Amino acid sequence: MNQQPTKDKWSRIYALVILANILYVLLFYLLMNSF
Amino acid sequence: MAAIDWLILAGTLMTIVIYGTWKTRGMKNVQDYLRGGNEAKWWTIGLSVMATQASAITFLSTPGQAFHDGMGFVQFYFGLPIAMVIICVVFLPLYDRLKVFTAYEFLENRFDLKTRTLTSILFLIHRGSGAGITIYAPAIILSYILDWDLTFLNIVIGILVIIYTASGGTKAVTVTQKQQMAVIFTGMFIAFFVIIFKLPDGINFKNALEIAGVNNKMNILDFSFSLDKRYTIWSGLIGGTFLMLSYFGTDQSQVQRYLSGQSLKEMRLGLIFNGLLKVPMQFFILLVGVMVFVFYQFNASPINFNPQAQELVMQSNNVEAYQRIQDEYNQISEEKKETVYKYVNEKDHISSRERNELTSQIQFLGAVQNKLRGDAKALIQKSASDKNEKVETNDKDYVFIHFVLNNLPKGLIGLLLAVILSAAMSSTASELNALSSTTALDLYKRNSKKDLSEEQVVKISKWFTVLWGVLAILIACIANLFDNLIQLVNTIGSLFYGNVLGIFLLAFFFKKIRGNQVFVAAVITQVFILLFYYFAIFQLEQAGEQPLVSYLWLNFIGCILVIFISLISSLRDMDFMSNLTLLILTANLAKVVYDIFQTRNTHLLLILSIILLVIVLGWLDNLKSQTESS
Repeated sequence: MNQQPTKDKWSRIYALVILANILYVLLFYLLMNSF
Repeated sequence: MAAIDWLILAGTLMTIVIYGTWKTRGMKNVQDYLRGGNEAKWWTIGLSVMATQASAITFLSTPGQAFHDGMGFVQFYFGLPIAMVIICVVFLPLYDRLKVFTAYEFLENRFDLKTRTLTSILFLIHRGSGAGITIYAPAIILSYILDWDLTFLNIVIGILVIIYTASGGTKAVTVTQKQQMAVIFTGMFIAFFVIIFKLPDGINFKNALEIAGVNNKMNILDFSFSLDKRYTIWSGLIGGTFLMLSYFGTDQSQVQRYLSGQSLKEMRLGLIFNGLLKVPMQFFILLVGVMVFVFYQFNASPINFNPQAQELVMQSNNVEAYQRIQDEYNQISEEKKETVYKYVNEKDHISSRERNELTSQIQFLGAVQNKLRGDAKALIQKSASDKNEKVETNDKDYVFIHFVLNNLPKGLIGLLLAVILSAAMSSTASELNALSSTTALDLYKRNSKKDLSEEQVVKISKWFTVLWGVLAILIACIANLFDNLIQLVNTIGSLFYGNVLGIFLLAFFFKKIRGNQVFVAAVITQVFILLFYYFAIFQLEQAGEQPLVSYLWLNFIGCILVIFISLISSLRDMDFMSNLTLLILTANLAKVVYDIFQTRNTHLLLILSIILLVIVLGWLDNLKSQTESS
């Protein structure tokens, strides 16, 4: 039971990494279309 | 090079070597020497992992790549964050629980000794030859461009690395990599701002990006499904994930970096750090290259940046023809410069039709420049053939260093050379450290009949570091004697990576597969891959023909094949669903091989379906094991 919140925390961190990289790609997309 | 450059270059490198050696002196136990005493914090691990991957070629070649082909190369790294998450979730907890010193030690725990020994040897072959090339690749470029002696440069880089890596082991590698990364980041940021500062009056950063965009250098993303194109978002996501998974998850030169972490949490955060920063870092290095491109829109540039190629053609009968091409190139460049100025100054005051006309004109002039560059390359090649010599006509490795040497102020040239040599040293150090640990632990200690003390293991590891270092220097020194050696060594990695990754994936996801099955499958796969490479790639390339597949696909084929053969050999233990999936997988694989040989084409969807099927198989297998064990 004690491990549950830790697992949740890690899942959130992993999701954050993927999300950040999706944001980079979106940013690249915007940059590409702006210039 | 001015005295101040020498001072900065030598001062930076020597400070790092002396500090690293002094700070980590007197290592006596294995834990300290091979796992850095498990003291590394997450940011140290992150920097260390990044420093290991970023070799000198990253900083020499990547800006040149952007200069010629734009920023699409960044897509190659899109699989990296996915690989980082998979390693954090699957690989790290197991490595940490078993407290292994090398990745291959885990395989003995999961399978058997022979599988551990086999994968260690595969690692030693490709990483051992790779270490020589990590030294040689920047040394050859610097020796041409600065007229330094190649052998001397190889020996200096090699010895500097051996000194601190042998003396302080993993900890020395980690400590020095922090400083090397600081030098690298400082140097690259300063170079970037100097380029922006050196752009002509009236051209700011935004204009520079616009000029790059007009010249098609800002095409960062490519969504096409074509396999002919090396860098698309799909090849980055699929191929990149596979490649990064094998590199970061199973290559001891990377595994050893995060195994030095204080705890599982620090290791995970270290890799997360890499997953967050790697793509922006590569983007930045490419952006530097694009800014160099913009700089050369307003300043004269040679038609080919490789000085050796220039020299060769200048001493041949083709000198006049080459000069004519260079003159024409200069004329076109001048015309293009005027058009670019006109575009920047007038774009906001003219109609969109007129703006499009100017854009087309710039692109047309760019195409003419490219054609002239191609003509120059052909002439260089012809001159080389006439003299029976070999020359690299692709000048992407020389673009950035040419800019640095000819345009940066005194002092900064020394700093940028320190950046390149620091990058070479940081990668080599990790490689020597990993080669020595694998030889000492996986081969020597594991197979030694004597009970070795901690001090003896450390001593042996030190000697193996020196031995691998000397071997790397020797490879670097003789590398010049062989044609296409860099290409060959890059290929060697792909010959083994897929197989090794497949073995690890079997260990993690296919609970029922046993040691004997994996070992036999790995040996068959390796023989197949070597034969496939020889007949379908090497022989055709030697005959001047197009290879059947790019060598990068060998990673994928090796990985799938070892999993596939292991599953076949455990067929009797599996249920109906797994058998069915395996049947479809066989049909798919047969189709891919047929396509490769018949139509010289591999279908992305087919490959995706194979990956999906392997995942399904792994999942079914795992599910069954779990049900049985509960």
